[in-house]
Amino acid sequence: MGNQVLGLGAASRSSQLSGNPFNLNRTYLRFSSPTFLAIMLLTMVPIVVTVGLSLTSLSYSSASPTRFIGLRNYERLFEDDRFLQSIPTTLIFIIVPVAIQLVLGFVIALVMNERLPGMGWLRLIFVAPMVLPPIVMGLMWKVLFTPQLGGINYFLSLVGISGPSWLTDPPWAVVAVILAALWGWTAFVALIFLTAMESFPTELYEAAGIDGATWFQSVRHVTLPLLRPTALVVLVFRVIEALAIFPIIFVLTNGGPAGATETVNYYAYVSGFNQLRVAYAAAIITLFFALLVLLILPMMRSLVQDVQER
Amino acid sequence: MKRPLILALLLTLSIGVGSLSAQDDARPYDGTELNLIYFEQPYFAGLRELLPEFTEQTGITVEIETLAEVPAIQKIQLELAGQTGNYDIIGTSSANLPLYAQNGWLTPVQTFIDDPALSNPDVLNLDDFIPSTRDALAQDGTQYCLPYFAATVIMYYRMDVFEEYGITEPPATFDELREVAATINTPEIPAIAMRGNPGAAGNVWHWNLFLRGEGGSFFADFPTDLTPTLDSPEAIAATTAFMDLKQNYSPEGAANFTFDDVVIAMQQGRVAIAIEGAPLAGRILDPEQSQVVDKVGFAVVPGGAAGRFPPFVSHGLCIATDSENAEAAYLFLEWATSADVFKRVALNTAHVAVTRNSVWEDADFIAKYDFDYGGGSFLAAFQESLNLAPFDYYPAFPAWTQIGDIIGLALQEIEIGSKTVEQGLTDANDAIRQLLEDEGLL
Repeated sequence: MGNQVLGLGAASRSSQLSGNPFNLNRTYLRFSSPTFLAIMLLTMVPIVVTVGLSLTSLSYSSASPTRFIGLRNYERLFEDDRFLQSIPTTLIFIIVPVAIQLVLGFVIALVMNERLPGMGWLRLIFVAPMVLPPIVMGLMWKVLFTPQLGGINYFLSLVGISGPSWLTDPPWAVVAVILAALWGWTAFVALIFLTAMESFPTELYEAAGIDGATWFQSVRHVTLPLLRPTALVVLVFRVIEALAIFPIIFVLTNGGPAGATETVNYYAYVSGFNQLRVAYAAAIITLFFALLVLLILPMMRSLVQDVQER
Repeated sequence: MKRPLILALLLTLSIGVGSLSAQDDARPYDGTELNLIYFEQPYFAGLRELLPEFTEQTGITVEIETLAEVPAIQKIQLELAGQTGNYDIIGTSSANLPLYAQNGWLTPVQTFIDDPALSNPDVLNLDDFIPSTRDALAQDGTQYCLPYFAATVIMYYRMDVFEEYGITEPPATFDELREVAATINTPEIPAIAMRGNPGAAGNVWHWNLFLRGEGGSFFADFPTDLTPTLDSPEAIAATTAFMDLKQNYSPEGAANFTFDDVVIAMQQGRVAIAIEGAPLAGRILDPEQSQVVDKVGFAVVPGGAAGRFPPFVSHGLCIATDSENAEAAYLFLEWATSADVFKRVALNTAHVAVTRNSVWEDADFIAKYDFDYGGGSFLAAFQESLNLAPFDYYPAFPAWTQIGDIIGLALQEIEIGSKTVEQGLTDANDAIRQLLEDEGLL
């Protein structure tokens, strides 16, 4: 699988075809090695250093000298309520927005694929959130959610609903962050789905039509199966990217109120940059990395299987 | 024949070395570039305006970089820990000084004060600094930084609202404050605004005045006995009083209020009492933005059984250990904290938190900042608060960075109701004990 991901599998397969595997492989390696090395240096070195740091006691807010303490930071982490609380929070912020984005993105793409008038303009408007830096997104939503300035509660009051204190009530703060994330990235999912749908062969739909399939049946039996590989790619991307929610949390809630929206990476940030416990932060981020790998590995595997099957 | 040759040689040399040797005696640091970093305050805006004069005198140019408070402090700590040498001068509050000093990140200004070739005692005039602001930036008799900002907190109140309800005197105790708050609180104008965002510069900054006022403390006996005492009856009483005000008589969203939110709420007339930094008076009463100019009175913050404890911190400018231009940096510090510069910055900007007695006594300064609208002088309330403010408002040791964070979070948990007062304080107390045990301090 590793070979597949790095593209080496493709090279060895084509070299088998050419009948001169050795030479081609060498040329391939020669061309790719500088990039490969650069990427390895830029990713592996920080990872190794971080893991190494996590085994020490380095903290600028501590008076005791830095020394090797083995797995002590990790032991402490599993007794740390704040850390333990941040794990479910992180999972919520990955699973809920990504699931809704996939469903919503699919529905939007379906509608836009119907080529109704004005869709070109709609598409343009849809891209708008994607060009905004997340920090700007966060600030914008903060203004909307703030009770005194509050756009949202004002409009809710027009229809007779008294809006919640979005950013000071823990469950609502979670909802607020999820709403901002949905607004920011649903369009991305929709656009990728739409591009995929536009490339589907029309013959299949015509055949389905001849067989008497309704619109829903053709969506269910033609569009959805064809969309599967795209959906997998989108899923992997979105899960990896879901933690780009950090700047939104940073601006919107600061991980609050009282830690309700604090994700694992946000807690690492707080430990490292506010409390200056560098080694402890390194331990948190190492576990976070492990968590991400655990989440993404099965998806990558089915993605690769999917590619191989075709 | 020989002399012109030597002269010519010297001339060539001096051109070669550049302007540095050309004006040897008068401006020995000509051409030096200094970099300063801290968070945005009116003081720095004022300094930027006057910088050309300093460059004129010394040939030294200074780049002043200012960010928002928390990012600035984070960046400074990263730069210092990484020994990047990017900044010659950094700002710090007295609360962070122990951390910086312990890590050897600063060259004490004392080194240069003691150097007669560099220091100008008339300009420096150490005795003119308000003693608490100066001594807060020294350790074991060594002056680390020079103070430019005397921070304390006062109570701003709306005289018109008080009058409407027949209240003649500003509340002096926590009980009176609660009574007044209950009387004047309305949905349109809630009674009181205080900080709610977690942290040493947030909710802890205001809560501690209740803690100390009720006779509580962070530790059994700092610095000899560091047993945390946040679960004491005094701490529980103080927190209950603080939370009562925040939960029942504060604007919506107060659990997240930063100093900015408090200032704006008061400035826009959306709250009747604000307990907030005295140095922010210039903003609260800014004639161009404020809707409450003429209506605000000033008082020392209320107290409890143990007395009144206005918060106190001193901000100063310091020289980074990894600076290659420490002498030039000292010359800048001396200039930037001189009485003359302070006075002009105070008059040109909203920088009122000046740290020199001579400026506080200056007629122009008093004329600009007295703000007496019939509810007493602002400067009098400010000065009285500075006199009452405990020098050790926060415990001065490096672990405070983490402890402030722990308490801030606990207070927010209590405020939004996810923990009771007792539970929140007990948990925080346990976390602090654990931390100190890890550090080998307990």
